[in-house]
Amino acid sequence: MNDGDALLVTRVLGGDENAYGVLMARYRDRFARYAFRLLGDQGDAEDVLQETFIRGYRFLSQCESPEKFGAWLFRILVNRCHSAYSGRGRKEENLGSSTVADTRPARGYGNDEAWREEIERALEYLPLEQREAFLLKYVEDLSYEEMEELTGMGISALKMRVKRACERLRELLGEVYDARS
Amino acid sequence: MKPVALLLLLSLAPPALLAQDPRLVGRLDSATARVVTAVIDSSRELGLPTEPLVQKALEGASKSATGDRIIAAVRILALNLGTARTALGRESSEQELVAGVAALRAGATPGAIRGLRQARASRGVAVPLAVLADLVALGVQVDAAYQSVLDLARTEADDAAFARLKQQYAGQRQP
Amino acid sequence: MHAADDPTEKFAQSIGRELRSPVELSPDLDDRIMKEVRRRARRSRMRPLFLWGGLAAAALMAIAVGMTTRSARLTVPPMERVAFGLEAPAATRVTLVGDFNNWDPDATPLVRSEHGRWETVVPLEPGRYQFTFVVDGSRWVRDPRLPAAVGEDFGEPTSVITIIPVSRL
Repeated sequence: MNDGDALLVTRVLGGDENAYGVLMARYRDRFARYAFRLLGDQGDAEDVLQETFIRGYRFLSQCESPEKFGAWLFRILVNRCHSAYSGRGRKEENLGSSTVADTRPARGYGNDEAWREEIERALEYLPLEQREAFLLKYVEDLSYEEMEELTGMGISALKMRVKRACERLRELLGEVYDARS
Repeated sequence: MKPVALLLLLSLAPPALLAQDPRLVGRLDSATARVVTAVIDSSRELGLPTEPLVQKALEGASKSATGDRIIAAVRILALNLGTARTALGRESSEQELVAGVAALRAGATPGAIRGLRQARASRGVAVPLAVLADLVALGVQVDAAYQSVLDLARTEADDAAFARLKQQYAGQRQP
Repeated sequence: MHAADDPTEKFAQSIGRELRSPVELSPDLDDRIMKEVRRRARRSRMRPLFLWGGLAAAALMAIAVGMTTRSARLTVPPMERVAFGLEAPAATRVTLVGDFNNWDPDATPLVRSEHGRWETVVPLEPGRYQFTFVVDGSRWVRDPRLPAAVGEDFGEPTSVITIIPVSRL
């Protein structure tokens, strides 16, 4: 939440579209990070970001609490990501953990960039809902109550998704993680 | 506002001095019309839409229901509108609240209809809520109906997609 | 075990920290978005000129056909022409009652067409309406093609119709 958001929203609604550029700059990087981590593709993430910010401008008058503009827009982003993901016709695949371990080449464990790529690849093996729940909890650092409000899913369902995501990631990344620790 | 408080407020509203909706004149007996008018005026004070309440009273009149039954139906509808507004937010339109009541009566919880509002942050929820109620009327279990509508809402689908969802179920039901 | 000591929790937090690193974006993304925002802003500044012209025309048409809207609003939702029909070959009179005509059994008679089908067309604003047919002044009949109203209040059958604006389809 940002106190300055309410003032900027008021200015945008009053006709100052440049004020929207300031709002965008506040949230762009964080939203980009979420979209990219969820969708795994820079092009897709940028498309979703563009759609989100444009929708945010079009429907700004429907933002009931301008001081919570960020949360309101983030909800739009989460929904757009879902749309983008479904639009790609992705099927959720649950590959056996042994299959994944066999196909991944060994990497330099001390290499941070390589480690991050491992994590990004492992994320792709999670079904969308688990990936989303994991990112919201451990990257966006939301509470379960905030996640419930954002996604409309109940807390116990969200906790189950996070738990499954952690278990799966542990299966996929456990060896490398332990070696790095 | 909590439902109990709303019911109390509606019961205590002073009758007789309030202007009646002319459509109720000649359709309800005077005692029933007085009480119904009081409920409508209390609801107006609370910022709830009143047209659905007038229509509910007229529906009862056309179906030759007793005065008590009409009053009960109007009071319950006023309560339901309050519950829908608490769940959907004070800025909700009349259409959204009417559809929200339909969804509640179909078995959706206030939390569930709030979830639909949140899933469809940048668009209205009147159509998804109406489709949810209609799916239940078509025989779909409320949990399954809610999940279908919620999933669709989360993809930022337009109203046409909800209409198609309902048609799919209606088509399955044709003899 | 304290959450912070739980190995799975520590693992998840560590993964989360890695994923918090910034991601690369195209340098022209901001420009693309703001270009679209400014285009929309320009369009909305021009809109009132067209709206007033359109309103004048709509007002004349409304007077001409004797239509009344429920309240004076700056933007009038478009009315949809909705067809209602019932197969009732043995009936001598069929009328329509519902939320849109104050449940008045005389307000909306249906017209009998060939093969015993009764029909009418009603202009309705988008929304959700309860209605029913009244056959020969006393028999209440639902529309068999439409959902029944859930939680019927008065013991007589009622149907529900949801009108979605054509422009949104």
